[in-house]
Amino acid sequence: MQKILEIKRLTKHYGRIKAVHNLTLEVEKGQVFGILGPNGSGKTTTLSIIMGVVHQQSGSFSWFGNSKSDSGWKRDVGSLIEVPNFYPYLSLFNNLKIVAGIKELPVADIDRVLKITNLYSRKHSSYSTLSLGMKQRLAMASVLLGDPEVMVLDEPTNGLDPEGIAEVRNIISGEAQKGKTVILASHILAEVEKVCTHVAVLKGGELLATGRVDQLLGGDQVFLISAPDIKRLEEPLIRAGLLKSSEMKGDDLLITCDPSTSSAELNKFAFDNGIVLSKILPVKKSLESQFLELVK
Amino acid sequence: MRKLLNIELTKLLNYTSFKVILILHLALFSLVIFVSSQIDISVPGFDTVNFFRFPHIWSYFTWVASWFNLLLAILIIMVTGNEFSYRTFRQHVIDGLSRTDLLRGKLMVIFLIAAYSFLMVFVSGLIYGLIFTPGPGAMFAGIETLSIYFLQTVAYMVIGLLLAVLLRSTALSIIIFILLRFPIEPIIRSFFDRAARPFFPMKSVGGLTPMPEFLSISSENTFETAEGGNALSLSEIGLVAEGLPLYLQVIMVLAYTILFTGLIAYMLKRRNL
Repeated sequence: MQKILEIKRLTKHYGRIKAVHNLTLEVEKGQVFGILGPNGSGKTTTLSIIMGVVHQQSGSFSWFGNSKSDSGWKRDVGSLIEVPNFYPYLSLFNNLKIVAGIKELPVADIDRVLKITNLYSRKHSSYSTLSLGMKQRLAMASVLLGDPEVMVLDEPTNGLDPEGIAEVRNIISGEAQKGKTVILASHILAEVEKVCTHVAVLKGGELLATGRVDQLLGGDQVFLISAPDIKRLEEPLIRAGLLKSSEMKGDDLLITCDPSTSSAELNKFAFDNGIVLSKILPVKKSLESQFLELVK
Repeated sequence: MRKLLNIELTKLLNYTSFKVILILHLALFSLVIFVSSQIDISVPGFDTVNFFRFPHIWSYFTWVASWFNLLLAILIIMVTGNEFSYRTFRQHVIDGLSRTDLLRGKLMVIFLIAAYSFLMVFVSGLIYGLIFTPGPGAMFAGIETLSIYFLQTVAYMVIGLLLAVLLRSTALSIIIFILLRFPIEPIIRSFFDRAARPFFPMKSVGGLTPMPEFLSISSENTFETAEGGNALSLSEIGLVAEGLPLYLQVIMVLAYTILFTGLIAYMLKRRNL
């Protein structure tokens, strides 16, 4: 796999505050790489460093395995970090014209990205007249300008309404399907869970865990089962060695089993023990609980 | 280079405040020139119309134009302060400009503004000179004053840019710029030896377009002065302080401009955006 981004032992302290500490990461081509962490965990600082606006204290990073020139690689990376930064007095078109100028892209591409982000009708409005959501969408448009190989997005759904959030996620998934690499920083677990293939979890500037989203999510299989007198099933399950832990949730029983346990197996076991299950629901252990365990 | 110029032009040409200040600058200069050309104080041997005749017109016009240099410095402070308050310098680097490109872009703006003010003085000088000079005058004698005026505007704007990059705030930079001319630098100067005083930046930049030699120009005896050196100059009679020779001032202002540009480049390179 081609390496898109390599970060080695990156460190940035603001006074006594460790914004990023000894961070090592690798992003490969085609990954949708989530950087997940609570507020102040160093996501934005990391992205600011790799985009060259903040200087690191130590450590290094390289884009495309250093195969592209210093100014050349940024043409292939569309980036939105923190808030959208545009000239309020300029029209959307002129704002994007400046970005296109910097990236040496044809001005003709501006209409395309404005249409993707549903801003085409506002092409000649000045930026200051936009709503917060529209500003965020314009930032998305500027990221998409020139159809870059890599997208670096920092909380791209900030300030968007549910419809806007869905739109942005669709754009990200669409780009990922085209084989584009996406680096997405977010504090919203559901967002990372929905769109990312890989994830790195940060806390206090340090890397807590990294890996495939489904692996990090993997582990034990959890079921919610229900039957009249469900408590009676607990003991045979423990004796059979199937149960790791259990917990009553109202009338239902929440059980944690081995990863290999299937619903059919569980159903058969219950039936063999004289209990007919009225409900059997596999519960995907959410990234949220995983995440909270990690950042504890 | 062309790329940076196009980017800067897109920003400037759509910026209303920029255009308003530019028009204000042009209007103020034209107004002062026009009004002073209508006032004719003339007694035997002394006639203010001489200010509008070649070659004296160049030193008079550049002197008047230099009154409004503050507006030019405000222009560059404004457009640079915007880059910080809109965080667009940061965005430019994210999008692919180098930090040196940021400086290059702003230096281009400075040269554009300086070129405009140069043209303003040059064209109005030609017009008034042709109207007021009877017969063929020494049209381009003393025209080098114009290039010194050009240097002066560039130097003022580089100081403005330095403040804007240092303080990252439009309002604060403008205030400090004004106060630096008066009274901050004069107060600091007063602590130094008389001989060292003309070497301060604001003083030496300001000294590039001195007040014209009113007495000698208006009494039309400059040529005698140049040849015989008998007529009294303003500094000789103590009306203005004795300055350094012009060539030395030019060298000093050039050195300051280069030094300050280097400082700006260093700050842009080292700081986080």
